[in-house]
Amino acid sequence: MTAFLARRLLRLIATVWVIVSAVFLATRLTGNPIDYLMPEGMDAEGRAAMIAYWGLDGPLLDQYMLFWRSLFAGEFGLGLMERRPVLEIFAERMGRSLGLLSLALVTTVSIGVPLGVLAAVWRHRAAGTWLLLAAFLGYAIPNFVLAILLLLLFSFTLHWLPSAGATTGWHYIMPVATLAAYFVAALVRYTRNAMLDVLGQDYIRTAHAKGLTPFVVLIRHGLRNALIPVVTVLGLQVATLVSGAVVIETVFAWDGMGDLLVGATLRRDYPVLQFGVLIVAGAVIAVNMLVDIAYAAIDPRVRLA
Amino acid sequence: MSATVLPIPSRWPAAPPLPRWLRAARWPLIIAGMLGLALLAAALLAPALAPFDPNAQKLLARLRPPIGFDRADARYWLGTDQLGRDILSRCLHGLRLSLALSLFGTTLGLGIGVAVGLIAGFARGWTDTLLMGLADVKLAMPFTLVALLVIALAGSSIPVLVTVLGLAYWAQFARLVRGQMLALRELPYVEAARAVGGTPWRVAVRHMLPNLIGPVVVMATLNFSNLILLESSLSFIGIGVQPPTATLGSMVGQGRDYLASAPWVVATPAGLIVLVSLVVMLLGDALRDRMDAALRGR
Repeated sequence: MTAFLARRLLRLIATVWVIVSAVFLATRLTGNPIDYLMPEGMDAEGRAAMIAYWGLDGPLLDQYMLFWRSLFAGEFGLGLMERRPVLEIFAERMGRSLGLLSLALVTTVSIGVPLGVLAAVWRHRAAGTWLLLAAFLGYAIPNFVLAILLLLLFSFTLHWLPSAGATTGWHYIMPVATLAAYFVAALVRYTRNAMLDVLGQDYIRTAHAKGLTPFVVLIRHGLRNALIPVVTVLGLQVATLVSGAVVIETVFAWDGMGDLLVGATLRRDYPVLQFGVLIVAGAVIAVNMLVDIAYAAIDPRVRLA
Repeated sequence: MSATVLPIPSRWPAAPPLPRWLRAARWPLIIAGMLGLALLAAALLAPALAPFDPNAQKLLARLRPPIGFDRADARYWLGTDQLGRDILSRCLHGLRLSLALSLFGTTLGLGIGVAVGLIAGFARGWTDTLLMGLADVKLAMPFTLVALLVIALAGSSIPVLVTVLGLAYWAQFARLVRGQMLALRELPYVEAARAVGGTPWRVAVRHMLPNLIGPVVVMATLNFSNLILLESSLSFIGIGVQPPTATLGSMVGQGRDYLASAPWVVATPAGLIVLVSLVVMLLGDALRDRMDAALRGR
């Protein structure tokens, strides 16, 4: 286990190093960052002064060291639009994004896994077929199209749900539903297949032969084993979930991090973007790593790799 | 560290196959194939088919509904948008551009991925660890963020978009090709090719590459539908193809402000995106089943 942990830690460090370096290079290769930071029409003299002030005139290696030093010092610069520290801007919005993401994750698991089990149990019945067909549709419809359809139906036609903002519980329903739809669909198909694999095993027949009730066999012997690959894959899917949230937040005017980052892209607010990429990518990779470690702790087979 | 050979995929594995009745029944596939051909023809012939210039504005004919509704103008079959542009013409041109971007993006991603996979599987050792480590980093990143950063820095133009789309899925190809390479290099015919004095490069390109191209083609089909969705998402949030040029995603994105009063502006392109995505997925699934069967028979 120690060797496994050490390997994972090494990998985490290498990954973060690659990402930080890539962000650094990307911002340097496409022009002097000062041109993104400063208002247009600045004279050459002022520009030179600013470049010297921010330490952007030194050799690339020095700049790279400086970049790291400021990261460790917690200095991430000022947002171009709001003229405030980037950390402050993100701190305000992080909660709303995390709320959306975690609710979507809970919804996905609590709907997707039971439906996947049902789809496996009902594999020879019409209900199972319809379930799979619905899952296929959920898989193919892009999240922003689904969002628009829901808006059209529930906000503009029926007037049941608010169309924008993030204030009351009602505001959560549509964003969470659209974000979760794709993952529920994927989870149904994936759980079904994992269940069918497990239900074909000898130990399931043994459990039946011992006289256990079908429900106990299905849940305790079937689902528990089927869940191992399902949950691992789900944990590693956090990156896609975050990507989806970026789009969904702009549709529902959900002023979280995704909305902020899209706005920053449109206005070329590079300090905000740079920080956003670093922090979100770091968080996603850390979550992946935790899932990995949790699974290695539970399932010894994972450790041997 | 990346030489992990565990059956734990780091993404969703390709979607599990369709239910048997759907696979056995030929009709969904036939319909999907015919729809696919129709969509392809519409995209190729867009300039000839479109009744209007897709960017021509006619402010006197703004927000006309499709024919069959009140206030409809018979010349605009699917109605007009907020600037009086013909929605049918914009959809045709948008479809053309969306398909073209996804095609170029897939080709680029395939090229990068296959090259990286070949090199990694071929060189092994440190090169392999390094390249596959990069692929792992790519797979762990929320890609939309990378796309945002690249577009913010490089600006939004067609070449930048194609690059972004190409970078989106190269890692999957790289992993696939590397895995295949490692499996193939132990096979007798590869050993034979080496034994008769084939240079390593010749063995890799002439003997191994042709034998691993099948799964790569299947993966390209599956990724094609992902790229259509990615491109339309980027255009939808306003950082993809820039106005006035139409893609399906940007039509939905710009039309959503008129959702309450003029839902048809959004409905047609949105429906078209779903249709394209469904058709490509069905065809990709069918192709994969074919290839799997072929592989099993080997």
